[in-house]
Amino acid sequence: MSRTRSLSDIDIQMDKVIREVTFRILRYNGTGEPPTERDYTVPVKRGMTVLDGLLYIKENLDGSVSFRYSCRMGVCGSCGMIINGKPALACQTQILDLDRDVITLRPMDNYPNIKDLVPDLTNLFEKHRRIKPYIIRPDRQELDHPTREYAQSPEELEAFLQFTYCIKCGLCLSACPTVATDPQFIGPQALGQLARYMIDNRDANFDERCDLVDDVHGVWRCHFAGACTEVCPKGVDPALGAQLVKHYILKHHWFGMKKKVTQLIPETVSGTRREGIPEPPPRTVESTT
Amino acid sequence: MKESRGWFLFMIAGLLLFVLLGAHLIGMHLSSLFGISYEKTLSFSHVAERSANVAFTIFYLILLALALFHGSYGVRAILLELPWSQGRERIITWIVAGIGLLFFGYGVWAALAALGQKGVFV
Repeated sequence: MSRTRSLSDIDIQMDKVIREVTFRILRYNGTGEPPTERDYTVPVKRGMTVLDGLLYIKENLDGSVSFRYSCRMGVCGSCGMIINGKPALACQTQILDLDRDVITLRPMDNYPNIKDLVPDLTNLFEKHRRIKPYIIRPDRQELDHPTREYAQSPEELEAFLQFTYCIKCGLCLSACPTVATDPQFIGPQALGQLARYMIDNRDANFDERCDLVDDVHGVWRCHFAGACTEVCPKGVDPALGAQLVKHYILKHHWFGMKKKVTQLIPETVSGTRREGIPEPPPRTVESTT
Repeated sequence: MKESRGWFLFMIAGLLLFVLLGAHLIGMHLSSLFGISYEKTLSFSHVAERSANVAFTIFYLILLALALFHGSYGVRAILLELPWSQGRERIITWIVAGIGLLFFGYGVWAALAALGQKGVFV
């Protein structure tokens, strides 16, 4: 016999402790002493994320545990860390999905550590800044004080759209085997964003962009391991971005490829009313809004 | 030179190696398919005969050049992934290029020497 569940039943289900999980956190106090692991027992309810578990520890067990977070919904990209050996966002990782009694947490690889689970992301943002992540055009006046839109078809938008979903969480750099051996390597995040601006037909800086990463530690060091794409929490494919950048640079330097840059849409033509069109009948019902 | 130029040549060399090395492997190790026995292909007289042939010599010098460029560039790429200073990176490039050229010179000398011994071998 089936039983219809009421909302209060669901509330009880959500509030019920399903299991206890040990959070094994690599603690680092920022003074240069070797990091040490510390265990915390967390009662896990349905729907709890690793970030919820960390907040539980912070509020109930140890207020000194440090981690970075903001939106709690996979948008801000602040809570990246290594969860059970894999780079992931704490707010997007369900504890019950991990199905482990012990969850190991450590700060992201390939970044200097500030404290506990807080990495120093300066390197990520410096590399991102290097590729000039903004539209560059000669019509500066129009960019600063836009009067019309630049023409871009849905297909032209679709060509780079996925790269715009990058939230700069830095997980891709943490997973990249090349960044691990060559810290100067430009890295997948910047290459994905470079691909985004190389493809975007509103950007007119293609020639210079081809030179930005054409050096010893540039795009050519990418081995196409694909780890960046594997860990991206937003489904972006930075590995594809890197290969596209290689493709464009080669076509530019060896075959003289030039980019077709879009222009402003023509001035909107104001409509004129034709003669002889009958007026609509009067309303029969009053609008409620 | 921009890194893209070297990388492109590295890829082209790789593709050509695939063809030339394939031809070499078929000629040396799968020749029994074409009615020549394995032992006969690798016998001294056959090796000497091939070495004295101008077409073979040119073929192997091209193969050597491509293999050395491809290999040296690959070794350089691996070495440059280690955290060197910028000055040392340049030194590494020169050392790898120097070793590559040295091997190429040795190969050219050996090939030409074998070619010059035509009358002795055949």
